[in-house]
Amino acid sequence: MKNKKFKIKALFSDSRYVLLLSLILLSLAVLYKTVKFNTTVEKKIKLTLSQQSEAIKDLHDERKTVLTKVFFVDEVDFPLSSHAFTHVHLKSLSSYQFKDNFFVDLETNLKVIKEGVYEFTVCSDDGFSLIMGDKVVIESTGPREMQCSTANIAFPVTGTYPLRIQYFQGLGLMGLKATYKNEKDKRVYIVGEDSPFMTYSLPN
Amino acid sequence: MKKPRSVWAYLRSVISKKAVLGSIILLAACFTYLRSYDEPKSLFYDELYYVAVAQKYIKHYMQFEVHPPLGKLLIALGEVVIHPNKGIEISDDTVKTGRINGDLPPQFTPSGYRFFPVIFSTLSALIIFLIFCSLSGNSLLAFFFSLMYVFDNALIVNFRGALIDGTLLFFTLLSILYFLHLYNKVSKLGPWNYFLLGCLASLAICTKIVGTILFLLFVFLYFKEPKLNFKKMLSRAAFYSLGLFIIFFSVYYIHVALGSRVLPDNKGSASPEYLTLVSNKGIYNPLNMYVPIRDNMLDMKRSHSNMAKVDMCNPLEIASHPVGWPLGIKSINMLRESSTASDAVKYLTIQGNPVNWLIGLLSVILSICLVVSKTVFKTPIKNKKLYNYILIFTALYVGYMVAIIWSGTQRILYMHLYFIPLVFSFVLAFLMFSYLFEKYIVKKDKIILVSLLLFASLILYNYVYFSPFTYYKALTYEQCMNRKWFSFWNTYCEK
Repeated sequence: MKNKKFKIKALFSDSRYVLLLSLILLSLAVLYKTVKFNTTVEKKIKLTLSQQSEAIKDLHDERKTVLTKVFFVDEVDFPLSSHAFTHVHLKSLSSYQFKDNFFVDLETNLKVIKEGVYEFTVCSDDGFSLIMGDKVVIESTGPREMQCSTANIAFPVTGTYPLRIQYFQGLGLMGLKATYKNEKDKRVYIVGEDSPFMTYSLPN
Repeated sequence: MKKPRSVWAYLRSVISKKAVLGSIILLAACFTYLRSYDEPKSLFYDELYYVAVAQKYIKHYMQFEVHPPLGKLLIALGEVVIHPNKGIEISDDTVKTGRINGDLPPQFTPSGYRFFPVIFSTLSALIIFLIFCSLSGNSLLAFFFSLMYVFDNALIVNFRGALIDGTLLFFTLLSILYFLHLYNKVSKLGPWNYFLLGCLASLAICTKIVGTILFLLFVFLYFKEPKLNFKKMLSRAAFYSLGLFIIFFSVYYIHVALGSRVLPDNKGSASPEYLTLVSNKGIYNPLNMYVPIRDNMLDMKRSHSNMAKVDMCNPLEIASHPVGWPLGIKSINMLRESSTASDAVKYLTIQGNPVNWLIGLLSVILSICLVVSKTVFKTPIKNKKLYNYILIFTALYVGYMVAIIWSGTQRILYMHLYFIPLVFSFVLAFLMFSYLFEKYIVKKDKIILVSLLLFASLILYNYVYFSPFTYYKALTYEQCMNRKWFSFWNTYCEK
């Protein structure tokens, strides 16, 4: 033990090791700043990516899935990108697959805390469908450039509602973002983001 | 029977290690500085001013400028030599205010204007390598530390433009290289050596006034020479001054002689005598230079004293105080372009390679500690020659910073003025490394070699990571924010 202590002391008295150690520490600091290790987000929304075996022309095309991948995300915010389906916090969800012709299914439970009318907006490239319970609230099923669609939904009573968003990426740019706001409030929240009006949780 | 030599052995006998490593540094600098230097096609930052000035030289208009003329004359020369905009007319209205006004023709390319600054910046990599070789004689060590210049993102962004800082650094480094050559053979110096040193220093001063820091080199050399009698001292000072004067006069002569026309309503600070010289072609006579040079000097003085001061309360202020520069305060976004097809934005931002800047700053602190401990506490030194070099470059760094901090109380300043002392800090990093690990370097110690490889990898990794800012590549808001490591960098990211 005494011998070991002596060796550590000797290590720090040798300027070469101090230099090497400093550079290793600097490298670790740089890696910490540039690489996101184990990025985790709160699991509120289940996301399923389904790679289609053929070109998708419409959201309601028959699904011919060759590969699926499941993620859990906190918000429906996938910025427009040309090369990968990218979540705002999790980074790229695509590897060499899921570049073109894939479906995305998002499922969450929405708990309304304050009843009232809410404005939901979905911006997407390409098509999407927003479904509350079994009812389609807004949709645009064909391919399109990044565009936004809006609809008002009335929640007369508080309670929990299942919310699903279906989306597909055909070719080219890809991106999806869904937001909501209470009719009496100015602030816009991203679907998945808790607010004084509603909260989100993972479906059972 | 004599054994035949292999081709490899023959090549090794004729090509030195120094030449090979120097060539690699030059090639790497071509890759980082010279590659696609005409991108972006739009003019950015002070290019808007300097291209207007160059255009006035090309059209032979008289003008006054806030900086000495050499840098901008070279920018104009590039356009004249390469003339990529042949047939494209740039109107007088576009340049008359001293800044490009309105849109340039769509076919316009800045490659000619950027040519000489970028060539000088590329060559500076080789000169830095030669300076390091001259300081220690260890070409491998010189190679590793030259990477600090070759892969520094902030230097690359600025030096690829039609700006004058790259040219200034080139002449500064050339002066230092020649100074080191003289310093190492101090017993055999003659007045003509001082003359040439004066010429080189003058080239830097004629590019930007901050080049006056190179007067210190004359002082160091002057006092290094043993047993100088009064006559010899006087002759050296006279020859140095002659070198300074000849270059200064020649540069201003070209500047004045190129201004043979006066833009309507754009007489600037020209006195009636100067205007008379222009009208009667007297500007071509070297004997008439006093009046134009006097008017230029007065205008320069007036421009500097009329400059605004930094407004720290303005969040959009890109100017900064020199005290913060070694920490990267503040980065400067020189150009950006949003795209309607994507949420990514292209940025051209002065953002240094943090590894280089950090190691440079630590080396400056260590150097100052060493000099103070030797001077105040009489700490014994290991290698007198290396210590003297450390003393010289510490004096250059501190001298420059003190002068610029004082200047910062008088006028607005921007972070690119830190590039000269930044390169001095790279030299100090090299010197401190050589000083601290001298005995291991001689033994070619493996731990030292591993450390150098790790150091080079760190520089390269950070260069690649920050390169979207350097080469005008698109980044999303989040990608941009990931590169804003510290809020005090003030890196601009568009949402």
